[in-house]
Amino acid sequence: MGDALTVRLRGRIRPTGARGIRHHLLVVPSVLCAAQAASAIAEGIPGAVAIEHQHGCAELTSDAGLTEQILVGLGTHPNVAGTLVVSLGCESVQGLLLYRAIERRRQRAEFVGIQQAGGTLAAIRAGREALARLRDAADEDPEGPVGWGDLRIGVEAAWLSLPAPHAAVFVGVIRRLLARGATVIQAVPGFVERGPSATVPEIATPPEALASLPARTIGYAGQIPGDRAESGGAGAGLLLMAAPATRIAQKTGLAAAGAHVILSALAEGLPAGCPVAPVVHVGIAPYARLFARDVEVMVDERPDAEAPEAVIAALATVCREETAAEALGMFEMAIHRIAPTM
Amino acid sequence: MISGEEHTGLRARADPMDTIQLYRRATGGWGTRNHVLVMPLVASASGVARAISRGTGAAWVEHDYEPEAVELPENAARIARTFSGFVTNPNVAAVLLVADIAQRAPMLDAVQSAGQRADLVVVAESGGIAGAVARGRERLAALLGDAAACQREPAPVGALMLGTECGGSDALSGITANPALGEASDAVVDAGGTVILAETTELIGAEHLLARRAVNRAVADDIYRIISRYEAVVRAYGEDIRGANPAPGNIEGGLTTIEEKSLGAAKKGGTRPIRQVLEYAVRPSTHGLVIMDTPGSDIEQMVGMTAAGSQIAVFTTGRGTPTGSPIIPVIKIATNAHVAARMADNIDLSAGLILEGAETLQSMGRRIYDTILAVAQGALTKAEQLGHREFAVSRYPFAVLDGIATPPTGVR
Amino acid sequence: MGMVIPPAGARPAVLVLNARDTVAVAVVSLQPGTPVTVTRGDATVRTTAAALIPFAHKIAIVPMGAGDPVIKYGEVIGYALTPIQPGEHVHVHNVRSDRAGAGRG
Repeated sequence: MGDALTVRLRGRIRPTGARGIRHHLLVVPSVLCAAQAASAIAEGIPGAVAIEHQHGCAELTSDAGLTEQILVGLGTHPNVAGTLVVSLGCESVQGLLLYRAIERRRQRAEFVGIQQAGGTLAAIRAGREALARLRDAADEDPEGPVGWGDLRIGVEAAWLSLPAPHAAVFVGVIRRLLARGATVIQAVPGFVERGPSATVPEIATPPEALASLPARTIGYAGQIPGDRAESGGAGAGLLLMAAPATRIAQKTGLAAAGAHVILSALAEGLPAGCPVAPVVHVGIAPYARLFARDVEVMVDERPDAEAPEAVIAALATVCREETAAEALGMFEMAIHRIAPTM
Repeated sequence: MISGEEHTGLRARADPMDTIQLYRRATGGWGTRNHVLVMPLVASASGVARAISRGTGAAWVEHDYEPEAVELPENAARIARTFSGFVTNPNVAAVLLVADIAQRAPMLDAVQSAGQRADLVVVAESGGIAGAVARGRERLAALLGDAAACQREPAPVGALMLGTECGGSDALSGITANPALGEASDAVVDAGGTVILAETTELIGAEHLLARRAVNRAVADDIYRIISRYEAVVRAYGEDIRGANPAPGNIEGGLTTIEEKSLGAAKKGGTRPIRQVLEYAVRPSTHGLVIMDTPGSDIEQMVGMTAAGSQIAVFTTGRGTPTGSPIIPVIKIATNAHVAARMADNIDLSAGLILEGAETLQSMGRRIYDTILAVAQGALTKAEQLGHREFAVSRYPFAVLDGIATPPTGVR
Repeated sequence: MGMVIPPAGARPAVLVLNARDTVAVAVVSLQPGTPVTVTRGDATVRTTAAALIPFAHKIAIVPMGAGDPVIKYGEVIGYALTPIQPGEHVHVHNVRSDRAGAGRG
């Protein structure tokens, strides 16, 4: 097996200079009451992906802020060629503000308000027209080479609690990626807030397995300082993202933080995709043999020295080809919830 | 209180001996619809649930509930009774539960013991995603066959449990739509039915007025308790509902005090005595007007009332909310003609007719009541026609008061 | 519940929601000087808008003394801060809430 990291990747070059390995048109409801219209707008439109979430209504300030951060992160993701914000009109995360925040980050964006448009059907019509405009504009994004240094790889936390031989596979993968200049965003559960003026939360238990690697901490779905679109994405190294323990919420946070692709160890539960970032399921045998056809790569009960290479090869493949979950349109999304709804 | 003359006028129409055509269920309830439901028990099974139901006409739900390794017992209980109540709602003829792992199987037992027709697919035991979808579709086909045999039969009007809700409220909500809905709520109660008034946060300021209508001291105490409890939770997270209401937009719109605003919201439940106060998603053990503790979040409220057994809901809206439910008809009433016309695709009735002199509060109330009966017997609402199927899982809000969790100061 | 008396089918200018109410709700914006006629229970009340009454705002239809309850929906929604004459705009400038401070009654 050769060095998977020498594989040539290609993708789209966004107006900001960022590279994307997908070319989605994202339809984002700013509140759950607009999700139905968002799905109907995207239905049957090639390349259109509608997200569904349960936030935006009757949220206290901290949750409203987090919801906005996630939706802006997903809406400005480099895998997304254009974003349509669908709003109701009266919700906590004001749809228009969300749209403007996405635009300010130089993402192609459009806006449809259900109340403004005059109901669900009118919103669907207006939404489809907006998607067509976005697609036409997005067609201008040229294709070009994508280097590992242009990529952010999100890693779910599940592998941190695997037995040493399996955990070592992931450490091996992360080291190789970092060596090639990729940014790795590692979700770490159990974060601790420092106070209202804190910009970066403490992580309660930094992962021992990665202790020898220099790392910085970012917040859940947080912006990554110094590694944003304009520069074309100079590698920022290893970033530890304060994350909730739940896996779908972790994936959502990683995607919102700009991860192009997500590595997910499957040792329990079900495989689950993610709206803007394809997920590489690393099946951990024996459990994952139940899902032999649903994982992108399987790691044996006793992983051998080639295992990290196999994972990276799967990563490279997913950068070039649609996953099974993407083909089926199967993905989940969840936003970590801080406080009760009002 | 309504003057005596008007009171009698409506009561004569709501004759408990009237019957309507509903579906009789083995669970003991009566349904206004005959849905077969595909229900994921955890968020990661939502995609499989969708794939199983695609193209079959079955109703389905997706949500974001991911159980944690250590679950707060109150939260687990709240969500479990929400799910079991929802899938045993009388509008559901049969349900296919979709679980990730076998440990969720007890839910099937609970649902079947309640008398509901139910089956289960465990994804991790079905040979992968594709295998789970295939097995699910097989089991779903059998349930669809069973449901097709159900027929409507004569049922008392009193079998109805009406959920009431307001969302996207404006200055007119408390003047046209809510009072008119209140007239219809009174008619449902007088016919022997049940009406649920919810949205605890929107009753803050009117607690004393509601407590006065409680049938006994215990119910009055419960009303104060749930309202002060929600206030305390919000305060623990650093916000003050009572102090922040009416909001500047409300004041500009004409609302002067919080009691006026909350009274306007409470109007939709009508004027009858309050018989019981329920926790979220708990089934009432009495007929008549009851209050349920729910957040003001529109969808969580609707799900809570549905899980308690509401087979039909009326939702008043000032600015226009399109939402519905996967399993119950939601009748949408606009407070004014402007929104009714603008969002005609989503609105079933306009209480703006009162402003035009074309209806009185009483006659509008009668219209709403007649619509409730027609929709209960099969007339489709706009939300149903458009396929709206909103669903959201409500979490236990009170941990911070139990001294269990100190509220974080924000993720940023 | 009352409406403006004039010809059948005409739009009402105000609504009274309950026979005990001391205020009516303007369902059109009322310019100062606009005459208002409304049924309140068995009685007919005639008054004149003393100021601009914006759409959905309240106009007094009976006199209230300082400290008297302001009644809407047949219930107390606040207390008058000053004497209020019929026709006056009833809102945050002359009404105080009883429930604004937390607590059980």
